[in-house]
Amino acid sequence: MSCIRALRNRIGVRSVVFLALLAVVATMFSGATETYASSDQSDVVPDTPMAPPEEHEDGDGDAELPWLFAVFFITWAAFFGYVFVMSRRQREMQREIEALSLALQEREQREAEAETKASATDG
Amino acid sequence: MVDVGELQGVAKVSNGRGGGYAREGLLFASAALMGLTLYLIYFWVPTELNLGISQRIFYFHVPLAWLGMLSMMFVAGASVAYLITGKEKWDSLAYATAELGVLFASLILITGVVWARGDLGWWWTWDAKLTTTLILWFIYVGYLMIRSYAPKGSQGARYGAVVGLMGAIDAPIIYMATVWWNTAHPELNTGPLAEDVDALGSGRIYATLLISAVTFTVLYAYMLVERYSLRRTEAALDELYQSAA
Repeated sequence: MSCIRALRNRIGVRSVVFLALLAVVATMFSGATETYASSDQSDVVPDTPMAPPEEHEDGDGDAELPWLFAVFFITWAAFFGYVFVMSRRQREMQREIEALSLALQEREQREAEAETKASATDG
Repeated sequence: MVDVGELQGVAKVSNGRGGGYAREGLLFASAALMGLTLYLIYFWVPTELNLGISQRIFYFHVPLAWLGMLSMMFVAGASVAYLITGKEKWDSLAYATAELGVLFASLILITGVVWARGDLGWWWTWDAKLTTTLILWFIYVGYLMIRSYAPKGSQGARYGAVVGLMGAIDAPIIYMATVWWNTAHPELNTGPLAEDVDALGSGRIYATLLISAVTFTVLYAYMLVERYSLRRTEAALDELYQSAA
C-alpha cells in the first residue's frame, strides 16, 4: 500500500488510474487466447461484408495475436503518455506560478520599503 | 500591473479546482467503462469468422476514427466562434481539440495500418479513405505548427482558425470516401449511410461497438476538459508575464 501511496504522490492520481488500466489491459491480453480457443461454433459470426473470405488466410487466429496486442499496447501507451505529459506540464506551470508569485511579493515589499524610506527622508 | 490575487486565480485553475469533481467523475467513469469495454472485447463478443481474432481491433479503431473526426468538427466550430466573437476561450477550445485530434488521428492511422498488415498482408495503400485520413493528420499537425510559429496573441489565433476551418472540409470527404470511390477500406457498417443495417452480423458486435464508442467518448471528454483548462492557464500565465515585463 505504501508503494501505491508513494507512486500516487509522485505521479498523481490520474496517472495511477491509467497505470491501473494498463494492468487491466495486460491481464486481458493473457486471457485473449483462451477466449478465442474457447469460442464455440455457435458463437462465431458468419459472413459479414467487412472483407472477402478468401483474404483471411489462417483459421486458428494465433498468428494475428501479436497485431492485436500491438494495437492495444500502442493505443494505451499513447493515452498514458499524453496524460503524463499533460500532468507534467501542469506541475511545471504550478511551479512557475509560485515563482512568479514570490517574485511579485518581493518586489511589492521592496517598493513599500523604498516608499517608507523616501517618506522618512522627506520628513 | 500584476497582483498576487490574479496569480492565485490562475493557480486555482491550474490546480484543477475549477470543476474538479466533474473531472474526477469523468476520469473514474472512463476507467470503469474501459474495464467493461475490455471485458466485452475479450470475453463476451464472438470472434468474427472471416477476419478472425484481429477483428477485435475494430472496437478500438472505429471509436478512435469517430473521435478524430469529431475533433475536426470541434476545431472548426470553435474557430468560427473565435473569428466571430474574438473571445479567447474559443481559441483555447480549438487548440485543445486540435491537439487531441493529432493524438486520435495518429491512433486511427496506426491501428488501421497494423490491422491491415495483420489481416490483409500490407501496411499501406494509397486509396481514398486512407489518404484523406492522412491528410486530416497533416491538417492537425499543420494547425499546431502554425500556432507554434505564428506570433502569440490574436494574430496567431486567427491564422489557426482559418486552417481549422479549411480542415473541416476533409472530415465529410473521409466519411464518404467508401461511398464515392472504390476503396480497399471496408464499407460503412454503421451510421445513417450504412447500406446494410445488419452488416455487423451480430447484436453482440453492435453492442460492443456502441459501448466502446461511449467509453472512448467519455475518455475524450476527460482529456478535453484537462487540456482546455491547461491551455487557459498557459494563456493566462503568458498574459501575466507580458504585463509583468
